[in-house]
Amino acid sequence: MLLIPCPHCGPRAEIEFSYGGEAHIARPEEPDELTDQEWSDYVFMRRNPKGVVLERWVHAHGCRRWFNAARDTVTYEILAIYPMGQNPPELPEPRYL
Amino acid sequence: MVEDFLRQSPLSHLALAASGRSQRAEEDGVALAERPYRTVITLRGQAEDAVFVEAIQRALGLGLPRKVGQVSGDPRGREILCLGPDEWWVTDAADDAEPLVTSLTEAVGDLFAQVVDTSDNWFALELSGPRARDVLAKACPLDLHPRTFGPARCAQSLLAKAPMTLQQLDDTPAFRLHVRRSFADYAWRWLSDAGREYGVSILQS
Repeated sequence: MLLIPCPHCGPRAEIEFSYGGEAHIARPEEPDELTDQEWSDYVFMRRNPKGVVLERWVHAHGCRRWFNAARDTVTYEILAIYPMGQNPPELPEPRYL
Repeated sequence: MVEDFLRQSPLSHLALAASGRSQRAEEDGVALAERPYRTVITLRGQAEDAVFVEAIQRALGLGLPRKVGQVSGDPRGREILCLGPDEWWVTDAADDAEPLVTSLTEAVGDLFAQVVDTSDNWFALELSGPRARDVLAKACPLDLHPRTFGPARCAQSLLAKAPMTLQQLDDTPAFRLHVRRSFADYAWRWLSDAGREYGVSILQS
């Protein structure tokens, strides 16, 4: 189980949280002008890297606030927590790659 | 407002008053008590707005806790629980939310804030005694060790998968658990069963 550091409540068990998918995916400004291919890319396609992912979490059974997290998909280490709407902080390159 | 004679605890079918004691039996590790009619008012507002903070503190005569998980006030009387960066509970042992809602609504006036009486959504029970932490540890992922949790602290978490707001009342240790009214029977039965190995006294409310 992950121990996720909620920015308001401190470290809490993963079962208190809900996952919100990859962060920083902007909705297209003019959805009507997209091709079906472009729209399906926006809706379905995600990076799925081996390494650092930027993702959204909500502390659903705690303070009910959203935040962004940078998590390493190999080590499961949570490298940074930052508020919604902010750009991710500078992160060191993972050493195992 | 529900007529008094129609109102009953969600645990009334368990007839707790008949079996209850006035205090925990010496040989029992924990004691359980229901607190069905507490006042719970949800307060939303901007913690960085000094006018809001001042208005609330004047209306309640209590400091407004700004850090999530802090509690101010008297655990046997009126308290403010900080549940989120812009969310609080004002709770009171008395079963009378109306004057409190009125005074808070007047206090916040035109500010960007909200006062809602949610008393009927919540049911409180109290778990106390030297083995209370052991009972909670079976149902709840929080770290309740005295180095991280203690009196005048609160936390929202899960009790055997049911949403719960927990607060510690004193060093006995005694905890007050608020669960949704519809989870009252589930929470009560779960805790009675979890505490059976330590001995559970049922206290009269």
